[in-house]
Amino acid sequence: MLHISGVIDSKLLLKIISIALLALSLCVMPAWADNLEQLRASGAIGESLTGYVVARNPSAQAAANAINAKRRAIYQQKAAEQGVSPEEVGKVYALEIFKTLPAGTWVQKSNGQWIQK
Amino acid sequence: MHKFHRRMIETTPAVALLILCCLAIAACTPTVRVESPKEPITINLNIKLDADIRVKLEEEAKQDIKANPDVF
Repeated sequence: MLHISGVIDSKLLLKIISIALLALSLCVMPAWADNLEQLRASGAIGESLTGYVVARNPSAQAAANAINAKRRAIYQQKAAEQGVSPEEVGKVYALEIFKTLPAGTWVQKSNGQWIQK
Repeated sequence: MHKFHRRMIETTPAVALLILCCLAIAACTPTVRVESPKEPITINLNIKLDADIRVKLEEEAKQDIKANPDVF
């Protein structure tokens, strides 16, 4: 094997470089790799009082869409069961979600204003 | 005249140092920020549901939130 230096041979060096690159690539993964708790804690995602999430950082848009799709399905099912509108169901859920949010979480009021809990 | 110039040249580094020290102290002065206390936040959800349906949905919401941490 080619010896680049007397201490590390090229095979080991290649291994070290590939591990370093892997570690680096994990650090630059997009926001959808984070879970909801992390996204809310970082401020990338905020809660709306309509019962849906809002991406505050564009990198979290895909994650927000996925979460909202799941919530929408639940709200529509409950609305059909109770004979009410999904919007009202969303508001009920929004209030319960709000109670569980850690302090500092971004919350969007009905008038569009952002506040932190 | 020469004596005066000589004294000036001799004291210049001391004066420069003094000015520098004054600037450094001014730069290190802590800034004091006065923030008024935040106003209490008013949240008006205006939920239009019959009380019994609302209570039912609230119970289900609590369960769903607990059971689906990746959604809620």
